[in-house]
Amino acid sequence: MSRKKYFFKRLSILGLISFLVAIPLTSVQAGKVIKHEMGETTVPDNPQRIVVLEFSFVDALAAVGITPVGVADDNKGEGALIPEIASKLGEWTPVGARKQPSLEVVSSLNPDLIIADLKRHEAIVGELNGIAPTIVLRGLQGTYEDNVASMSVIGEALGLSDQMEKRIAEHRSTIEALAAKVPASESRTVLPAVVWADGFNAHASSSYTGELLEKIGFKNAIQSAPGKPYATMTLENLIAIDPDVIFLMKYSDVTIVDGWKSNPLWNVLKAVKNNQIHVVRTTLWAKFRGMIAAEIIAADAIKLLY
Amino acid sequence: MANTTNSVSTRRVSRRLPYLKAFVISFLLLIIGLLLSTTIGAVEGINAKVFFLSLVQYDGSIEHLIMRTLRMPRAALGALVGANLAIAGLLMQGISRNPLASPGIFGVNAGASLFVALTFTGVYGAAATDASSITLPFVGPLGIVPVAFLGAAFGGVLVYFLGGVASGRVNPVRLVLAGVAVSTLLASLMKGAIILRDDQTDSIVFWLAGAVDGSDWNDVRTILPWTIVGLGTTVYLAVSLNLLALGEDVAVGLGRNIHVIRAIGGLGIICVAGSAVAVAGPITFVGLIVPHICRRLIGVDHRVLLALAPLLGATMMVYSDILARFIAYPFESPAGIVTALVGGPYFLYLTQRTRID
Repeated sequence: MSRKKYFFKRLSILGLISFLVAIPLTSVQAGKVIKHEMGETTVPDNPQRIVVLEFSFVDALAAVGITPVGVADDNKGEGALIPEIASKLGEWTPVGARKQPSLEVVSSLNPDLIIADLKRHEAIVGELNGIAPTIVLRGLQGTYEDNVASMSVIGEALGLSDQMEKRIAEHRSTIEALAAKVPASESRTVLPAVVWADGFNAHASSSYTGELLEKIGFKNAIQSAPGKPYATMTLENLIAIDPDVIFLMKYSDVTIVDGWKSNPLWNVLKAVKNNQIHVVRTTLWAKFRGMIAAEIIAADAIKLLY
Repeated sequence: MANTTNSVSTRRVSRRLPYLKAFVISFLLLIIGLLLSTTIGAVEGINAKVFFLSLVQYDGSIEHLIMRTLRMPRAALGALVGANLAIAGLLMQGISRNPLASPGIFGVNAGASLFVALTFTGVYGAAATDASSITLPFVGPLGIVPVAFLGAAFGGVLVYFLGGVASGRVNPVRLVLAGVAVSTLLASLMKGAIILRDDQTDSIVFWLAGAVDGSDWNDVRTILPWTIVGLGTTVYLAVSLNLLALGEDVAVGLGRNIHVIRAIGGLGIICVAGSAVAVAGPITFVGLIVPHICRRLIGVDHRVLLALAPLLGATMMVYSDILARFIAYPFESPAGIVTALVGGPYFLYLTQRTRID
C-alpha cells in the first residue's frame, strides 16, 4: 500500500516537472530568440509596435518600410530626423531624449519590441525589458560595419530577415557603385570632424564616418586603432596632420574654427589653401549612422569633391 | 644686540629651507617647465632655439607662428591658472583657518562651472555659444568671466554659511562636509543642464575636467588682471592672515576686523578662482595642495607664502599640462586629469593628518 502511494507520489512529481519544463518551451514557440549585445531576448514573431531609442535604428526600420510607434527624438520632433528618412515614416510618438528616454511614454505606447543602444541605455535595460522585449545593439558607438551588422539583427527581430538582407545587398551595391566613381588615383586624405564652441573632435579611420569614407576610397588623415575612433585636436594637431579635405559637422553656430581663422597659421593648412573645407549636414553625418544615411553621406562627399 | 642676531639666526636654522633657495629652485623649475611646454607638441622640430629666435628674431615662419600663437599662450595660461588656484587656496586656508580649504572642495569651482555650463548649454535660451556675449534674462549681455564670478560667489557663500563660518563656530570637518555636499549638489545640477543639451555633451565633459590646451593670448589677457588682483589681495592681507593664524581672539585683540578680512579675502578668492574656471574649467587640487607644500618648504609666514604659492602653483599646472599631452599623444587630454591624479591621494593624506576636534 505504502509502496503504491510512493509510486503515485513519484509520478505526480514527474508530472509536475514535465509541466514546468513545458511552460518555457511553449512560450519559446510563440516567438524567436534574438542574440544581441547584452545576451539573448525572446521577441514576438512579427512585432508591430516598435520603439527605437537611437537614430541608426530609425534608419534601419525606414530601410524596410516600417514606421516605429515611438522614437527617442531628443525632443526635437520631425526636425531631429533627416528629411530623407522622415518622409519615409508614418505617424510616430516622441519618447524623449536618446540619452534619457521617458519610460512612462515608452510603456504607454504598449510596444512589443524595444531597440536600445548599448552605450546609452545599458543602465536601463532592466526597466525596458519590464515594458517589452528589448534588444540592445551598437548604434552610437559602432563602426560602419558594426552598424550594418546591427541591421541584420534588426531584420531578424522584425521577422523581416529576407527583406532586410535584400536591402543590405542593395546597400552594398550602392556603396560599390559610389566607390567606383572615385578614381583609383585619388590620394587626398580626408578628415571629418565635429566642432563646437571650444572643441574640435576628429573622426578617425575607425569611426563610423571615417570607415564609410574609406570604403568609397577616401583615406582618413588619421589612421586610428579600433576602439580609438575619435581624437580631440588643437590647431597645432591639425597643422601636424594637415589633411587635404576637412568635413565640418557643426554643433553650434559659432565654433572653435571661427577663432582659428584669425590665426595666420590657419592659412597654412592645405585644405584652406585649396578651398577644401566643407560644412556638411550635422544630423546626417554625425547622428544617423544607418544605411540610408550612409548612402547619402557617400553621395554628398563625392559631389563635394568632384 | 648680539642676542637679537643670535635669535634671528636660530629662527633661520629652524626653517626648513632658506627663502632664497626655495625661490630659486621653484623659479628654475618653472622656467624649465615653460621651456618643455613650448617645445613638446604635435608639430616636431620646434625646440628651445625656436623659442629664443621667435622672441628676438621673429620671422613669421610656421615654426615661429606655432611658438608665438599656440605654445607660448598655452604655457603662459597654464602658469597663470596655476598661480590663481594657488592664491585662491592660500587665501581660503588663511581666512577659514582650515587646512582642507580650497576652491575645488569648497564649492567655488563647482559654482563657477555650473553657471558657465548653464550659459553654455543654453538653458537661458542662448543657442549660440559665443563666449564673448552671453545674454542673460534681466541682466543683459554678460561675458564668461562675470558669469564665472557670480557662480564662484554663489558656491563659496553657500558653503561659508552652511559650514557655520558666519555664526562663528568654525569646525573644519563641518566646513568640508558642507563643501562636499554643495559641490555635489551643484555638480548634479550641472549634469542635469548637460542632459538637456545632448549635442555638446562631449565638449562639456572635456571642459569639466579642466584644460588649457586650446588657449590663445585672449585667454591670457582675460585672466592676467585677476591674477594681479589676487596677488594684491594677498599682499594686503598677509599680516592679517598671520595674526588670524594665531587665533581669532588674537587677531581681534590686535585690532583686526575679522569680518573685513574675510570679506576682502572672499572677494579675492572669487576673482582668482572664477577667472581660472572661466578660461580653463574647474581644475582641482592645485589650490589645495600647493599652499601645504609651500608651508612645508618655508614655514607659515604669509608675507613669503604669497610669493612662493603662485610660483609653485604655476609650476604644478605647467607640468600637469605637459604630462596630459602624453595620455593620448599626439592628441589632447585635459590637464585636470593629471592634477586630480596627483592631488587626490594628497588630499586623503591631509584628511588623515587633520585632527577632528
